[in-house]
Amino acid sequence: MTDGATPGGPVPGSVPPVVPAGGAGAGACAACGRPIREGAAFCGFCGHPVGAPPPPAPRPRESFSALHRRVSREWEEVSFVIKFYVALLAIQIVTAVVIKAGADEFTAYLVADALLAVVTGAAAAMHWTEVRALLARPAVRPPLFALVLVAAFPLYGLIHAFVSGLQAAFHVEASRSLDAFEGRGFGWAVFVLCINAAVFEETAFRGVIFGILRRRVRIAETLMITSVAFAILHLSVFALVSHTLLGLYLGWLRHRSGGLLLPMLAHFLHNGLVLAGERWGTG
Amino acid sequence: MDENRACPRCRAVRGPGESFCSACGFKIQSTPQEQRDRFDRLRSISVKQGQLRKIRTGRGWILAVSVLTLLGGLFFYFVAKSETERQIRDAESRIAGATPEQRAEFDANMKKATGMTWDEAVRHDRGRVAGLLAMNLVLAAVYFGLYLWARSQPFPAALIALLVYLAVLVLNAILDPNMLAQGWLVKIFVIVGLGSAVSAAYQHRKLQEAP
Repeated sequence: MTDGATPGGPVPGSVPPVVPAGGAGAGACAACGRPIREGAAFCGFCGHPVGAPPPPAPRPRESFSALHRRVSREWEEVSFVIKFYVALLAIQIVTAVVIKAGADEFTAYLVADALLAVVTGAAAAMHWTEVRALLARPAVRPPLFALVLVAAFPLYGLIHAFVSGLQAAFHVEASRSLDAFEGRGFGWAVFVLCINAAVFEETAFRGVIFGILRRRVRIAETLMITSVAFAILHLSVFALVSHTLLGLYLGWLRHRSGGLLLPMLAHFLHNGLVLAGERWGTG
Repeated sequence: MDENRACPRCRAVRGPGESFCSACGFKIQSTPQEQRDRFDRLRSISVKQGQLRKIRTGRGWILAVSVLTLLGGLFFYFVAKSETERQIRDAESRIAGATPEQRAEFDANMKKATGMTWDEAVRHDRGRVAGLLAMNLVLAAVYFGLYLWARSQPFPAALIALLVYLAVLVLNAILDPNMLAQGWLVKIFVIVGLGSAVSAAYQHRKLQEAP
C-alpha cells in the first residue's frame, strides 16, 4: 500500500507515450496483443521480442478459483442426493415411530406411501429430462428381460431364506408385510407394496440418486452407495445385507439396460413373490 | 522514484504497467498473470489443506465410532448377561422345589403367556444377549473397515459410514425412542464431522483430478 511504485498501476512521471494498438506506433505485440512502444525491441507486458513470429497460443487453463467454484457447485448437486435421501428416511422413521406408538398400520402406510410418492415426484420433476429419458427408454433387450423373469424366483428364495434364517437365529418373530393389510383386501397390499414400491423406490434410487451420482463418481461407488442407502430405507436389521445385494442387482440392471423399466419389473416381481409367499405359502 | 522506473540492466525507462524492459527484454517484475497464478497456487494449497483436515477429522470419527461400538457392545453384553442370568437364577430358585405336576403347570402357563416353554425361554433370552453382542461386534468391524478404506477412498467410505451410522440411530430409535436423546451431543458431532468429511473428500478428489 505504501509502496511508491504499485506494480501494474499507473505511475505519474515522464514516460514515453504508449501507442495504442492499431495506431501510428509500432503496433500490437504478436504474442499478447497489447500496444508496443515506439522504438521498443521487446513488448513491455509479456517480454515477446518485436518482429518475432507469435508463439503458439498457451492452452487455456481453468484458474483455481474457477475450478473451486465449479467443484463446489457440483457438490451442491451431489448433496441434493443426501438431502433427498434424508427426507425419504425421515418419512420412514416417522411412520415406524407412529405405528409403534399405536397408530393404525394401514392408515400410516397409506400416508407414508403418499408422502414418499410426493417427495420422489418432486425430486423426479427437478430432474425431469433425465428421468423421462430413463422411463421412455424401451431398450429392454430380450436376454436381460428373460434374466429378470428367471432370476426373480431364486433371488426371492435366497433373500427370504437369508432374512428368515437370521430372524430365527436371533429369536425374532418373522415380520409379515401383509399383516398391516389384514381385512383391507389383497388389492391394497398389491397396490402399496408391489406397484408403488416398485415405481417410486426405483424412480428415487435407480432414477434420481443413481443418475446424479453416476455423473459425478465412479460406477462402483454409485452402485454401492445407492444399494446401502436402499437397504437402510427398509429399516430392518435383518434385511440390511440381503437388501444391499438386492440393491446391487437392481442398480446393475439400471446400468446395463440404461433404463428404469427393468429394475422396476425386477422390484415388482420380488415384492410380488414376497406377498404371494405370505398369502399362499406355508409361512 | 525514477530509480524504480528504470531497467536494472540497461537503465532504459519502463512504461506504466510493463513487466519487461522494452529495450533489452529484461524481466523487471512478475507479470499480472504470474501474480494471479502464484495467488491461485497458494489458495489451492490452503483450500486442499483445509479439506484434508476435515477428511482426517472424519476418519477420526469413524475410528471413534468403531471403538465406541465395540466398548458399548461389550458393556451392554456384560450388563445384559448378568441381568438375564440373575433373572434365570431367580426363576429357577422359585421352581426348584416344585413337584413335576407343578412344573408342568408352570410350563403350560409360560407357554400360554410367551409361546415358549421354560427351556425355550432360557435359550431365547441367552440367544438374544449373544445376538446383541454379535451385532455390535460386526458393526464395530464394519466401521473399522470403513476407517481403513477411508485412507485411500475417503469419499465413498465416509459416505457409507454416515449412512450406516444414521441407520443404527434410526433402528435404535424405532426400538426405543428414548435412545435417540442419549448422548445427543456426540451424535450431532459425529454426523456433522462425517458430513463435512464427505463434502471435503468429494471436492478434494475433484480438485486433484482436474488437469
